Amino acid sequence: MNTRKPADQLMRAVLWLFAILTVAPFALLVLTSLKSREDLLAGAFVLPARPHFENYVSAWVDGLFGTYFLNSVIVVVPVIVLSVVLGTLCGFAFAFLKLPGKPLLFGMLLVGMMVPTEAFIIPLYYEFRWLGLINTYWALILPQVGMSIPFVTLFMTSAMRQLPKDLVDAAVADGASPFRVLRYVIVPLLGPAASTMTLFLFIWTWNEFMIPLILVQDDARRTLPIGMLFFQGKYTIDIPILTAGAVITLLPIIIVYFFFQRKFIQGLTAGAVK
Amino acid sequence: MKSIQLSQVTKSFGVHDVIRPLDLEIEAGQFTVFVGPSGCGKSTLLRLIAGLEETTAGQIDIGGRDVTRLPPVDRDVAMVFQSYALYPHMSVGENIAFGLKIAGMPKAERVAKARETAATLKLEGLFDRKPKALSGGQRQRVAIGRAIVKNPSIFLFDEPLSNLDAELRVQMRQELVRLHQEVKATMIYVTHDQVEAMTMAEKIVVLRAGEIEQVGSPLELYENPRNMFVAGFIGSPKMNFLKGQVVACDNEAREISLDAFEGRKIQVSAKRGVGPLAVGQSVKVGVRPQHFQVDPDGPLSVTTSTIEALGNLTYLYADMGSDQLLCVETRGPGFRVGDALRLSVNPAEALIFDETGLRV
Amino acid sequence: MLHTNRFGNLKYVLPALLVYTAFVLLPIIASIVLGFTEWGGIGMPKFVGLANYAALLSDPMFFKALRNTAVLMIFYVALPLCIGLALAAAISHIRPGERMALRMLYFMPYVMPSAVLGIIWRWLYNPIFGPLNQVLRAAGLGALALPWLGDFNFALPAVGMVATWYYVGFCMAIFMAGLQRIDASLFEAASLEGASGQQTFRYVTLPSLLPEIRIVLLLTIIASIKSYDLIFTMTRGGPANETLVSNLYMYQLGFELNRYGYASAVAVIGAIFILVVNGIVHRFLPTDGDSA
Repeated sequence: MNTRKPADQLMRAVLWLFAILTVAPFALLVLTSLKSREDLLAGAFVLPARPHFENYVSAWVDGLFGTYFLNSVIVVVPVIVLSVVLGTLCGFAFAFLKLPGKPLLFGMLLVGMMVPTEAFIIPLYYEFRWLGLINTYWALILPQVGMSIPFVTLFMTSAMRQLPKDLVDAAVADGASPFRVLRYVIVPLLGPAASTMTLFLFIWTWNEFMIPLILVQDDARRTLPIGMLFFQGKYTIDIPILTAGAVITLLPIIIVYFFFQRKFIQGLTAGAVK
Repeated sequence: MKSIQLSQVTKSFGVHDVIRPLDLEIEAGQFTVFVGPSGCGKSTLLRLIAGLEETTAGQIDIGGRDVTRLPPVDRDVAMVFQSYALYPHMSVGENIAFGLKIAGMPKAERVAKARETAATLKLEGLFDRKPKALSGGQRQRVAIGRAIVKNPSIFLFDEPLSNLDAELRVQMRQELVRLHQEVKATMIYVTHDQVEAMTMAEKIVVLRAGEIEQVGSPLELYENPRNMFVAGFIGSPKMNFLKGQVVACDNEAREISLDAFEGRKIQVSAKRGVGPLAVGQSVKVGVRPQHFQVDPDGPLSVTTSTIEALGNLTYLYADMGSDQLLCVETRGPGFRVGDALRLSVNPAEALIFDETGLRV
Repeated sequence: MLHTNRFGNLKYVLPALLVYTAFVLLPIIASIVLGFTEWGGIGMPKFVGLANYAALLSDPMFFKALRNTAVLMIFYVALPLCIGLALAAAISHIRPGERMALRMLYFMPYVMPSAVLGIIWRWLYNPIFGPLNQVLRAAGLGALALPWLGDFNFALPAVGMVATWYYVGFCMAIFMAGLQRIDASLFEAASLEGASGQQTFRYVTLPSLLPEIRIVLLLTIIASIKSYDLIFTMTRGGPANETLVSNLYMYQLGFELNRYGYASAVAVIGAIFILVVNGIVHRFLPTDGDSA
């Protein structure tokens, strides 16, 4: 396409300007996180005399972001593993096996995809109180797995249906039981689907707000977004440390996003169009 | 080597009947071909025998044992798929040995068997390659190896050559026939290509819309088709069908006036007749392209519209109105588009079909 | 496919369904039931029939929340849709490599936790030391340096602009994928027939993007109904309920006022709105014969 026309060049410049404005808050965040509180008074866009990395130490240790970070990791890993394993087993049955009341089971899962967390957070809170699991990792992990299962199941079902049907037939003709078909033939071919799901589950769980907000009140169990919310309440004015905490919260996502952005964007938009 | 017997086998998907109640017997050790246009149910029938689909009704016996409710692995069958269905993440060796692994054979033993099989198929050098790195013909061989290694009594082939190029297809056809002579197993082969059926089969089963049209040896079907469908399906180029009325008939000959030739009459021998015929009855006369002669005294006059000169043979095509083309096989050069020709029909070879398409 | 007993196959789905039922489906059902009761969190809920829903109909706070959501739809739905469409159309003239880089930047907010973005924007909007007002003052527009989130008139649009910023890249990426889906020869045919850029956009691009437009509508409308994280962290509904939305109202009723039955009724209404939007869009979404 011809990009040498002046009009096109102007458009290009405007597009880049808006793109930079879009990510400017993140750049500002990093800049501010390296300032001292005195530097702040000089203006938001002024470079500090020297980078104050000690803000990160303060956030990590005094601001408890170290604890929050660890909690986020402790929650994200089992959520991904459990959701992918359970969703794959479930998706396999939906894709290839006979089940009693299959349409009903499928409809049941669809309900969970459409109803937002906010609609059932009150009973969920009382359920976990009744189970005695408020302020535990279980409270953060189990509902997240439950909410992820419909997505993973549907995604895996459609990924499996896209595999050549003959492969499954060949394995059946070779005498493989359903579980062995799954284990030896389907699972080795699901790598791309499973990695896409892993990315999504990582980001959904890392970013989750409602569940940790309601089901955990103990600072020692808070995940990063909630920790940040309460940090803000405690020290409203300590902007450098707050922004350092924000960078700690966002950095894992930014790193993953930079490495897998194509997969991310394609997955999220294609998933949406389906 | 086992026989197969299908009794009143039926398959429907929802309200859609794919296989109508159907009886068929396949002798042990025979090479049988299921042939028919796409959607005729031939692949479904094969998958029913394999056990990949469940019958809606009826019974399947293999080697005298009722296998209707048995899974594929207990039926002593092996199947070669159209797409080859090679496991993409496994090497050639692992693909061949997978069935043995599932059956619980120790590793050393199954690798040895897989190597032996690979050697007979000239795949030794490719044993550790992934399917992706193989040519179409090589993949085809691996798929066959995966069937052979199980030493089944019955081989099932689902259009296995349709993804190969023409030359390779001819070669593989011969290899499969040789394989049949060597392993002496019962083989069923599904194809939509009547040339494959004619060249490979000991017995052909012609299917249409879930029903068997005719069963017989290739020559039987060619010489004595039971109806217009079989007559038109077997043989290439297709048999010509000419509409007409019976003018006279006796035990010796039948005289038909042809609509497309201003009522010109041709004689057809009654020897090939199989049913009664009445004067005035509407019929179709089936004539294969090679059973016309270019004959200055012939009753049928045509004008050639297209010529296909193949060297040894020449096909002449003539318009007969209503989108129909008449195909005539001749020899030698010397024909040009627009030639007016006269044709006669070999009375001993023409067949007559009634209005329902049944041979009479 | 497999001759195994169908009840035996349940072992593949039961673990997943059990977790799902225990922590999603049962709470959903419980929420519906609670909506018909009065419950302070202790003792047995008292059945009150439709009283909660009747009360909602004359609850000014609830209507305030609905009104706010309606205004927010400008920022959640209309602006991201139009800007995203314009960006996608503009960006299609740029070299693929550069296009992907731009897309990555625009899309970035969408992968971030919206709660954290809310906190960041609270700082950006800060009236005294917030970077936004510093920019305005430096540009000589000190009169415009408002206390954004504390201002009765500007709090809602200020919150809304953050949502627009959040969803623009996502909408753009969907439209970019849609543009790729369109057969390039359509554009060539249009240019051969002498259509101008605007005419091509109006008569070729826009109609072809109808499926994407509908999807964007569905997702952003639902997002506006669900809106919670951003507003909770930016304003908590203030000032004086100027940014209150239904989920925030539900939170206040439940976890601050212990009116769990009434709060559940609010939650159920929100879920019904979402199901209705889903139904409407799916009803009018062209089905492409895809087996579901």
